[in-house]
Amino acid sequence: MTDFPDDKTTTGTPERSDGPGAEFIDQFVATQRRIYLFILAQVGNPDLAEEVLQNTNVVIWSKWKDFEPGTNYIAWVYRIASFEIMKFRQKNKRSRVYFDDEFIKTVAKSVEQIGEKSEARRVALSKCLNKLKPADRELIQQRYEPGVSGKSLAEKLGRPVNSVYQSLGRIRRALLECVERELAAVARS
Amino acid sequence: MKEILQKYPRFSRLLDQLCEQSLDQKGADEISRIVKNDPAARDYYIRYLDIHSTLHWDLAISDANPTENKQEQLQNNTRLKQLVESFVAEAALEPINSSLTTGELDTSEFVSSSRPSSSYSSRKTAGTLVAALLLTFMVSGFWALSPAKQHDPVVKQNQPGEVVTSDIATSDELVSNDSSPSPGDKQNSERMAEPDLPPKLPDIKWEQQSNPISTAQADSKKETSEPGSPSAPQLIDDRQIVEVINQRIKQGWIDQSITPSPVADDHEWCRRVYLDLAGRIPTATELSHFLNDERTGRERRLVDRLLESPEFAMSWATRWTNLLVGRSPNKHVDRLALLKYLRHSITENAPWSLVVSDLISAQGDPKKNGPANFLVAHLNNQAVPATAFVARTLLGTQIQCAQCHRHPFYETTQRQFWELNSFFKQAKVVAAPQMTTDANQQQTAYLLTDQPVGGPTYYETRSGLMQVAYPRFNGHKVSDDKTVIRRQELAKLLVEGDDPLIAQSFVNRTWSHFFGYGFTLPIDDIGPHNPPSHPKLFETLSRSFVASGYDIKRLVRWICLSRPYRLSSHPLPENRQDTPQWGDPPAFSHMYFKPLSPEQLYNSLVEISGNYPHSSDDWNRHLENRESWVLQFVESLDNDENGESNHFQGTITQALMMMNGELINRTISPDSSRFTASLIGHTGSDLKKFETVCLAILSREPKPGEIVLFRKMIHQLKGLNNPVERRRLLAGQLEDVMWAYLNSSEFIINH
Repeated sequence: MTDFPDDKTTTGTPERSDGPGAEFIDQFVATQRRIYLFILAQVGNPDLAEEVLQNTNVVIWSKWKDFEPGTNYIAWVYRIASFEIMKFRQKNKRSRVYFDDEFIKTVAKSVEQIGEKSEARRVALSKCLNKLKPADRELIQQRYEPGVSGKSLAEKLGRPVNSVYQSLGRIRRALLECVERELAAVARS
Repeated sequence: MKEILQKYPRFSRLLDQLCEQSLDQKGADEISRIVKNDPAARDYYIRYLDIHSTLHWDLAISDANPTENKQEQLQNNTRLKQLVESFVAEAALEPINSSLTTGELDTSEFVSSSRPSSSYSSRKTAGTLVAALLLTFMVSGFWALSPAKQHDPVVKQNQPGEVVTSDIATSDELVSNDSSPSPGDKQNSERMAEPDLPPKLPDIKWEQQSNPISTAQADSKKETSEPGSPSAPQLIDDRQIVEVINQRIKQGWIDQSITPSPVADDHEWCRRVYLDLAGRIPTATELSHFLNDERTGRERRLVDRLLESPEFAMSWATRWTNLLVGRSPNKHVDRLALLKYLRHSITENAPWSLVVSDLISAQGDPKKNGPANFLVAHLNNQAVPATAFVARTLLGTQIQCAQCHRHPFYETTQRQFWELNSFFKQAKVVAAPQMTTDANQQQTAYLLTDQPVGGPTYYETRSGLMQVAYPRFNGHKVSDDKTVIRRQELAKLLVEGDDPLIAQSFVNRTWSHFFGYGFTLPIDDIGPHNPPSHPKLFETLSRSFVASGYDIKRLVRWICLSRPYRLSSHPLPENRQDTPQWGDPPAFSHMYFKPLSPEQLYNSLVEISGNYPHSSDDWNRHLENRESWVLQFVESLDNDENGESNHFQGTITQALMMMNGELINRTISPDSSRFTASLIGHTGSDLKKFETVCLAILSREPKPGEIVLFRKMIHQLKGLNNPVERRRLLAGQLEDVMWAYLNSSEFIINH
């Protein structure tokens, strides 16, 4: 947390060496998605996951000097994120805690492994999105527009909330099936 | 992957609740339990959330569309990087705000500032909070920077029928959605290939547009949101109705760009129609009779003949007996009396509305008055099961959960449940001593009666408040005076109208009997929350069914003579996606597999062995044997809804029974099977005998590979001169082939 006051002392055009290096920024940008999944799988709620991600990012930027270049960046970040999740859970103990500690522990371990294929999965998913029936694709796009929830989408479409939930679940399951098929196909070829 | 969902049937719903943030703590605990204990489920959980998170990230947080194009993705990252770098630089110039160093970040502020409209202002004020700002931009994405995309972007779809392959095409054609009120309308207008058409199309085209499957949701929304829309026609001409089925289903294929499978070959269709109508597979003779009929209209003739056969009445009655009272024995319920009543109804062509009235209002001794068994079976527990059963089996709606609380999905209140329940307040089973012919013996009969009691039914709300409910159904209130027999009043209310629920529910169930899936999933959950796959067709059928005077056989005839019912069960690569078991609305692009029911299997096995009943005495024995045979697969569930589960389809119990059960033995052993015995005794060609086995069991000619096998077996017989030994070996071979065929999935599935 004391890194930034140091920066204050520099004047004029900032030197790159005073901030995190280009490599660090690269890694930071490239791993955001993975950390988001890592957090989301443990807290369960996208809004809360974003909140924890923000906290995590704050810590990453305040502690970038602690990171030793050449070591495993993502492992370092996972540790920070785990700590932030823990803090977050303690703070919200009574109100919004969903999952128990053991759950968090087992999931965290597994999600690290699956996260390694993050990029391949993302490519497969975008292929699969294009394979959806047009109406289904549109529905899923509308659902994941910023600020939209399944509930607000149902209101917008004038459909019963539960039927929208059902459709979304069906489409997500179809996408998952498709992604796994795509990845299996890539693995074979 | 799907095994997980089958293993934990509630899992997918729980995950959806999690994704839609409607999960309660109980649900979370359940997820936790499953995920912790089963590594495969954990894997599924993470992969599923990965989809959710990537969609969320790519569509909501990052850019508009997840892009397949690596280049584009890299560019995105580059832009993001430049931003990061510039903020790092900017931060270095600014004095540091103390809030960062204390670590006390009010994070919620940043969540709200992540909305595109406010991101610029937040940038100004929080210029020093590098990380937070960074996040703001990460969250709102670049799309906040391009004003063109600020209002809700809607991706215009490609022309129908065209397989979308390019993601550029979708993302390039961003249009404002102001003029497109629903996805359905948009797709409709595209189908017309007239993108400039106003969203509200002329009435004349309305009929043509309103039936797609993939847009079932949008379609039904249209129907409910436009009360002025014409209701489906009541048709009376058989041929016209069959044509409507064909057209509507075909339109669904076009809308979903699905190619239907070709027409089933005659063998396949003949087996199917025998199983569906007669409740057993056809004999080799019946099969060849159909195949050799060269006059036109042979399908129609076969369907008509089967519909008039006693076997149709029997199998239809069996199915409904199981639906109405379950298969498990209940000492007050006489299943066979109910079966007899239903069989009689169908033989006499009684309208379904009359059957429903009988079931609802029957009185007296269930052993003598068949329909009385329905309520006798469910009057326990303050008639709660009766209420739920009437709603589910006869009305096709699931209201059982409203017993204790408001229905989670639609507007059925607890009061409505108890209002329906109140109709059964007077119904009571009373014991009555009966004199038999033998004066020394006295028997007790249990009679279904209506007691002269009046007044409302009382129930307790969740908050513990006592409430009253008066008998009322569908807005019609019935006097709660004790002289009014409420069940009779309910029977009248149920059959009122052009398209009452009893008609919809019956049509849906009947359709699903023939196709494996109804218009709604599940079939007994009809309602605005669960739009049907083919709303217009569904409505046309049920209204026409009412107009026909609830003629059960005609409804069946319409379905059996339709083109979708004639299709092969072999899916094409082009219609493999039409797999309703994954939860998609069915498109009926090929015949779905239907496992044989225990009764169908029993009948078929007995028929193969040549011991099928002919006289009515035979039938009674056959039924009794079948009942006890079926029971080994049934287990009643001790719940409030008198539920039961059967251990039949695809279970180990079934597999074991098929492999070495006594019934299989009886079917194939020449000692008990007339079929095997006559084959062995017959003096024809040996190859022909093997072919007959194939026809009798699988209802088809053997394939070349099978014939090769047969020839090999026959070859072993060649060297044997001793006729007794030859016969013994041949018998063994035939039994082996029969056993193998009976244990094939081809046999135990109706396809």
